[in-house]
Amino acid sequence: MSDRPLGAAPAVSDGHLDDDTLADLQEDLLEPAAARSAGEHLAGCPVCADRADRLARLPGLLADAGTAGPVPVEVATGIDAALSAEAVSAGAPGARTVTPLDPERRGSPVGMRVLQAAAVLVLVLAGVGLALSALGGGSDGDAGTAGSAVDSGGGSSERSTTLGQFPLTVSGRAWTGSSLTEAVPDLLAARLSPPVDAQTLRESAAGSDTSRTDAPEDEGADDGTDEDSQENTATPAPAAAPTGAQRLASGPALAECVAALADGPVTPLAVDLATWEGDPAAVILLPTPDDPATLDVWVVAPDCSPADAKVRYFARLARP
Amino acid sequence: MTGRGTDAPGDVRGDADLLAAHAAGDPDAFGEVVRRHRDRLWAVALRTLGDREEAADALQDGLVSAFRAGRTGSAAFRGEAAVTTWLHRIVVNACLDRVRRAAARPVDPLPDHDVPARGDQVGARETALDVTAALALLPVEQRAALVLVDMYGWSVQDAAEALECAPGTVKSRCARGRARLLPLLSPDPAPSGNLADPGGVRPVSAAPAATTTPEGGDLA
Repeated sequence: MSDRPLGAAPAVSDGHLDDDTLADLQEDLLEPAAARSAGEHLAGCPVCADRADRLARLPGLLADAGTAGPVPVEVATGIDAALSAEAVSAGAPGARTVTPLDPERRGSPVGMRVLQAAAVLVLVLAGVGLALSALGGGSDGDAGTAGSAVDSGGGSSERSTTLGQFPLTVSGRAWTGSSLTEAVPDLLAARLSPPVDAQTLRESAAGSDTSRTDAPEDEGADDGTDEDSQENTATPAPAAAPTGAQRLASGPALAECVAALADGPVTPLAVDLATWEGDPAAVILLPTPDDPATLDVWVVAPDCSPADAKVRYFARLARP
Repeated sequence: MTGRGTDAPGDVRGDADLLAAHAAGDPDAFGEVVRRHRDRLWAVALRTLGDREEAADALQDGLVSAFRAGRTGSAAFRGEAAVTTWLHRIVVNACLDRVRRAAARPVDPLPDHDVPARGDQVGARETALDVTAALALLPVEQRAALVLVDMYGWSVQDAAEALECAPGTVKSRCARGRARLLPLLSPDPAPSGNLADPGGVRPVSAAPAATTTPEGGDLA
């Protein structure tokens, strides 16, 4: 690259205008005399004229390559979390950022819901979230808490008000966006695999024989109230859930993850422990806030947490 | 597609009004501005830095800076374009800061995870990869100018405001950037002055000695 100042006399190499000169000429950066001289050379030199033509087409080439697509979900989530932290740390005015969305604000951006949910969590986890942790014994994989995500039948603890009852399956499937879209009805009905009850989760989380991770294909088992339901099973064992995804079989971990994804604590429509792009993942179906006609499909990594939801995929779909 | 809010009716307020509301403590206002602009800001950061991780960090840094600046209410905006330019200025500066801080590190000419959006034609993808690789070889100031002006169609004046420099500087950065890109993106069988021994460069005619423009020193 030439270091000569712009506007200098046109320069050549082997009798041709150099690229800087051609580019400067096209941007009207050459002094009039130099521009005139370069123009005269260009008029009589097919080689330079060809390069000038290709130079002039470069902006179009760049424009064609400019497509970057929408900001990736994980990037948007990270931004939301960072802004949430900023709002909370900024003191009084920022504290308003934790205000839940106006219910009338239909179709609010998911990212901002995550932002606000995360902000809410910062402040309210001391109540619900930390209570969940306490109930969970402080260990994500604690077998004793594995059933809390589905066990609301006991009814008296805060956890039941946080997650409620929902179908939880361990399909172990390698989901993709399209296959998930098609499988939403099955996920909602827990038809993918025998739904997992509380006792089964405890055992699988504790690393016990996965051949017992059976449960009747009966949605009644979804409520987790029947601790003995697995005793009645005769169906083959489903694919064992990826070990990593088992973390979200823990009530506290799942509750925190769900709260990070939604407008605070909500009851999932369904949860499936599976894989996404080769890695353990949990599919979490949540109601779309303020829009009963749709649902939100989230795929998260097993270490989904309020600090980082580890979102791998998101889609908003019409309810079947 | 993710459908992340893109089909939402959203807030009917203009960007400038939203930022005023943000300064006044509206908890939703800045998020709405981010939602509207983040895809374009992401594209600029990604093409300027050529690396997804770096671009993600720069975008986040920039938006946090914008959040803080917006809270002070010190910036008054006239119209939507002013907000767009302001956001791009902050994010581009965040990109430039990252590059400058990493200046001691060797340049990664083409991160293998930086691919164009899905759905592109093969040819377009190859072109994009070529362009990304070629852009990575340019000084970042030239890269940022070309990304805004050539890639995303900004006017020189708007780009100058976003890049916080004179319009002439933007033009010179673009010109020099294109001159560098030409042999990279369009191999030239003919002799190229840029690749030749500078000693071989000579005036084609006895043009008068030109004066140096104010932007003359901006050769990165």
